Amino acid sequence: MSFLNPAALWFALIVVPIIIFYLLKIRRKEVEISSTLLWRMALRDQQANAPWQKLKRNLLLLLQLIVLGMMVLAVARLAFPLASVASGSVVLLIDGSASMFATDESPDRFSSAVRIAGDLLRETGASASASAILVTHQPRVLFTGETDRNEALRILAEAEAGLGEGDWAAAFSLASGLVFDADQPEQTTYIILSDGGLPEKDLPPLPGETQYIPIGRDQDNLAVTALAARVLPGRDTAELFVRVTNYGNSERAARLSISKGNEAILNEQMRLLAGDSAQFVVENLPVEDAVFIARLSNIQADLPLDDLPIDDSAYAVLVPPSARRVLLVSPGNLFLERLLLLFPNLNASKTQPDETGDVHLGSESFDLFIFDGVLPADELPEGQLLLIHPPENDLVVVSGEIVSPTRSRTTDHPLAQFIDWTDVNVFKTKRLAVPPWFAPLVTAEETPLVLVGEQAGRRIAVVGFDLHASDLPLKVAFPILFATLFEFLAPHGIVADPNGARAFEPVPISPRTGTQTLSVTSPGGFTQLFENPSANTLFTRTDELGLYTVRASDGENFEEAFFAVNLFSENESDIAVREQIEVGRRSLTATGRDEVSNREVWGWLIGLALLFLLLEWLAYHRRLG
Amino acid sequence: MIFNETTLRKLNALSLIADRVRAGRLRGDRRSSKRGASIEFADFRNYVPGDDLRRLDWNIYARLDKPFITLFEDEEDLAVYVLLDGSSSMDWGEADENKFTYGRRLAAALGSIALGSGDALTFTMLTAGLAPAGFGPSRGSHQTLRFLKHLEALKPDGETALNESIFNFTLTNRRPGLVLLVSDLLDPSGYQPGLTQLLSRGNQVVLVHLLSPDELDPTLSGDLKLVDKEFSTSQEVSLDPVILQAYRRQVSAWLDEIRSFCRSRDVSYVHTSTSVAWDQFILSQLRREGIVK
Repeated sequence: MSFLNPAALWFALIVVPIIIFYLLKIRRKEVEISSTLLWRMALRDQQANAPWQKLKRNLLLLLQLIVLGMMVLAVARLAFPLASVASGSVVLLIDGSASMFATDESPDRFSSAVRIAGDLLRETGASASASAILVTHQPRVLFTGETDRNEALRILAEAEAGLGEGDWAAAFSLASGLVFDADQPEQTTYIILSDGGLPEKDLPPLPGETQYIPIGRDQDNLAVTALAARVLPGRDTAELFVRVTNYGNSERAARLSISKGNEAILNEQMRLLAGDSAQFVVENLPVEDAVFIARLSNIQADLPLDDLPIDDSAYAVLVPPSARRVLLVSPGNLFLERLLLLFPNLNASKTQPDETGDVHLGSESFDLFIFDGVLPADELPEGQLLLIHPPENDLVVVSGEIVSPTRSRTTDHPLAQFIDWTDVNVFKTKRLAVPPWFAPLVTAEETPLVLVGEQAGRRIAVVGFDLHASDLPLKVAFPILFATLFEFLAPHGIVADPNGARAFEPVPISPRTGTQTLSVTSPGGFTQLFENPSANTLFTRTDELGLYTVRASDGENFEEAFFAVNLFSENESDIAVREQIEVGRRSLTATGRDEVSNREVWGWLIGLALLFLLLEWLAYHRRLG
Repeated sequence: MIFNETTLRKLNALSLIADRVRAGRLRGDRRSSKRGASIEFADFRNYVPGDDLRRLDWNIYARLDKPFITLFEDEEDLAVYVLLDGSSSMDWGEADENKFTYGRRLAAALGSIALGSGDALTFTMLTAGLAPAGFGPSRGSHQTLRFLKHLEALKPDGETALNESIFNFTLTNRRPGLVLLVSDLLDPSGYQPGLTQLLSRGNQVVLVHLLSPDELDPTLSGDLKLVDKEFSTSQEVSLDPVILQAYRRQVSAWLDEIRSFCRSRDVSYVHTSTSVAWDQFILSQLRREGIVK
């Protein structure tokens, strides 16, 4: 026991004047009565109980002294030593990734981590400030510099884990900024509450002392780690691939069920050794729109399978390729004509300018128009556009030509990531002025060479040079560049990759030209509506695992598509608790409670003082009758 | 006036009951237990030689042809002594609830009843030291007005020495009679020797114990210094519900003690509070207790 403000003990001297005032003779009011005979007789009996009467008279004094004592102890900040992990300011990093949904702790690891965090806050001194960071795919600060423990505990209770992987690098960066005393960063203790799913290296050290409290006990988990459906190229069948992994440390038996809609297409019992995987391929599936669901379950149907149910099922979507209608308008370009034949989802036609050089398109509609060196005299048609070596136009300002543009290279645009431009030579190109809605994929010092963009719901790509004025058609970059441009301009379906999304990753949706409304509904029923969606709409609310439904309408026609969001994360499905993590160059093992912090009890003392004050009031009024 | 004509007429219809007092000297208006020469028929007996022939009932002789002597009730006077406590403790209460005023009314009423009945009334105010001149002995209702005027002039004063003043009274009033003592009995030296002295003189004693409502159930509170009006002594007290309850218990025990003593000595004991209408006390409570009829 100690006093954090011992100087306040001098207030105890107030007891002296209290006793002095009490000992002074009570002023009594004189009252004349007919006779004191009966009063003396009555009080004579009372004198027999004098000690008790004295005690009753002194009860008020006693209660007042108790109240004074409680107040003095509260002001002097009476405190008791308490074992704790930290004695100064504390920053808590709480793992909120998908593995924290494991149920080996009750009710789950994340709840256990929050509970331990609450205990740690209570153990630290009331004057020490505390901060907490929730480490999810996008770490966020829950509270910072909080000294009100009740408020901190309330915020902790409202925190929720997420279904993605934790971004520990970003979390550490946030935590480093939460040093409370820049002159003494070592006074801040960082406590990591996690099952150890941190990156094994490259995490920077934290400025203060860092401790690790592992959360979790078991590692029993089987997971569907892959589920994919595809149409076999050149064939009219599809196949489904599924992989199951046992992340536990003992052999496990499980049942794998795969269904397509209401139709069961696989029902296998399997035994997997610890750390082993099993793969299945379901062949000869019809090429049609389909949704596949793979589920793992316990051999005994009424028992849970493992400690992490969220990776026991997965979804896959099969989308048959649908042909996009393409019109090539060119005076003649064998490279392009042969290239178009390589893409089975492109149903290409060609036309050429008339003798006067005018382009007549007719009334037929196409999904994609490729204008090679020419443009229609009238306004541009509806549909996506690929302009190659364009003349003057309203979309892109063309101002002269550049011979042998220098340092041509790809940009860091995501679409350019697979294009290798290192040995491509462009001899002559149009000089293009880039409107803000265009982004270059390939650029040179003098002018961009390849642009992509979207305007008024229409996707447009521009290649500023004549293919014959370069050696691009002879390079590997040629089919890759145009495959990328065709996929951008005329994707397979409105969801380009219905199986590639994981939790919290955005899903690009490419509604067809003319789509007026687009809605995306999550497995839990949340629906986001897009009015007049752009050709490259991004859906970001992928915080649920399962099958999402996309519905598009142009006012007359209605189209439906699906995409799946699965966990598919080895880091999260492997729920083995790591007893040691690497932070900076240090290995951290599970921490004990070696520090001593002071637990103040002034709140209790004030409460007791108020209680005794109430008792004194009751005793005083009882005396008055 | 202590009371009006209407009240006086009501009182004149009453008489005091004294069935345990010894016979008086004079022939008065009271019936005696002895049979003697009086004018009220009592009974017949056979004639024996030597009886006074003037008392022979000739009507019965004519009818029965046998001589019978007529017997008459022998009537004699009663000495009624009304003693009023005149100590300062009796001067307590306001207006009609003042104990002395109330007691004086009772004394006036009882004395008037005695005078109206032809009893020999003697009134004395009990005080320590030199007592004011008393009234009586007087007889006859024509003395009532003078009696009331005597009472009107009285004022309570001085300390009480109940036993001593009663003793002094018995020295000067030796004839046994009906003693009506009106007092609050708030005398530190007690009341028992005085009552015993009265009884030893052959008196029939009626004790009218008079207290005020705040003496029975005080409404005081807080830290007080109680000053005795009569003796000027003081008593410090911190009144709380416990102390007040103890006081009430003490009053009750004291009243029980007095009642028990009086019962054991054949003293008629009547307790009243000044909050009770005095005429109702006379007309109903004293009648119920067999003090008046």
